[in-house]
Amino acid sequence: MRDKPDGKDLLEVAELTLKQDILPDLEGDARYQALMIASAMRIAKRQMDGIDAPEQERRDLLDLLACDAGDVLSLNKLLVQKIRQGNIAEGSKEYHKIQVHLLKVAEMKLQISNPGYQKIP
Amino acid sequence: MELNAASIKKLSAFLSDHFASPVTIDNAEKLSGGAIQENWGLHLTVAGGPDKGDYDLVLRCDAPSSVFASHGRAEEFKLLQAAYAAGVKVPKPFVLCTDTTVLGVVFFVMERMPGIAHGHRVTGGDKNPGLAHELGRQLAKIHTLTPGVAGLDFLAPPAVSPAGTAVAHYRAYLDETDWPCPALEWGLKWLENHAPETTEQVLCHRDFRTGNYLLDKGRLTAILDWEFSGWGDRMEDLGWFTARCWRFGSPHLEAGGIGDARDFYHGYEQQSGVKIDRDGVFYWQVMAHVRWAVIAISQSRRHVSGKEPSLELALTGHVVPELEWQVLAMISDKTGGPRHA
Repeated sequence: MRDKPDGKDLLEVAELTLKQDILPDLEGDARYQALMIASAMRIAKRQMDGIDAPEQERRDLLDLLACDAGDVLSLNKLLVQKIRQGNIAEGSKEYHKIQVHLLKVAEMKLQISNPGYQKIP
Repeated sequence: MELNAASIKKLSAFLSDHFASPVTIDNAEKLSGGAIQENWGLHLTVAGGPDKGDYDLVLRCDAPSSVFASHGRAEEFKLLQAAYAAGVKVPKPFVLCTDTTVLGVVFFVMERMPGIAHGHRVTGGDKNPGLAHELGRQLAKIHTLTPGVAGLDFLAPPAVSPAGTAVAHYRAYLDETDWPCPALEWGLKWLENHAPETTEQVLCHRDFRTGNYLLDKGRLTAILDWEFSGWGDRMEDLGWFTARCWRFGSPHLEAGGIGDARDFYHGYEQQSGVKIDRDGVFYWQVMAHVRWAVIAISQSRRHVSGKEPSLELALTGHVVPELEWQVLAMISDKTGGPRHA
């Protein structure tokens, strides 16, 4: 365990300072830039929360592709090949299984990039 | 590009030739926005001749970075001329300069129109049925331009299947990045399997969306950003405009976050006499999300590669997950699958 404040704590207080002490005095392009910095800090902070689960994704891919080994990158390349070959009948059990896997990965990435997105109609 | 005293002098001489009368530029200011292009606001006076008077104009030239499949300024100028002649609300195009000894870049000058364009400023308020209707009418006017029209012979010839060509193009791009995107591939396979037949090709604006038109006190003043235009399926523009990803602060308003789809479609149908096939719009909405994701990946790669470090480009990469999820959810709805994992 590392001493506090850790990286996440620092990002939190840096974002708070930016929003409370700096943003109110900015306008135009400078304000837009500061808002982007705040957004980048929030994404980095959520990434540190450990939402990203590449090992789980790897296990799911091994199962989907009936493989014994491989990293996420190479397994995703295999999945892309399989999708392009187009032998998966739309609406079949395999089709839904892959679709659920892809939704799961997309939802995990959304939790980092834009967690509020799915709540919006 | 910088407009300093020396370049203003050269520009004045060029414009004096164009107007056949001495031109005085008394103000030149760089306008904000435009990662692909640079825009300068000019105020000038033409001393005499048939065009005598004061003008507020915009000078538009290439910025250092470019985006895939975008036209240069010379082509954009010709598109503006064709649209203006067809009665589309666009800034009046004045003159194109391909002589790079004038300012060092190709540029054109057009009328400066009032209004704001930024998506988050245009959306978020009450719906605007009149604007939705008017945008539908304007899009129908754009679609009156068909292959063979004068001035647009530089555009790539119409593809046999615009949908199939788009799928092949986006796959080729994803291959170039060498980074697997299974969710987008899933979308591309669905788009390949359900590609519609396009019986009539029209000029597609290809970036007709909220954020790319000017609004002044709630009224449309100009349709901008013609650098992606080309021959294609009219439904492509309808799908792009109504796609979830271009509704900014009002995602519940299908017509670009500013109004109801029925008002937008009504304006289009009334102007064109073409009945809109809603399933066709759905197909091109899926395509819209895939396309924006591919563009967003392209932009974020410019940052990731180290060639162009930029916070804006880096953050654009974080738009991709919501686009991927949207594509998957839309297809899932159509194929009877779950919307959530």
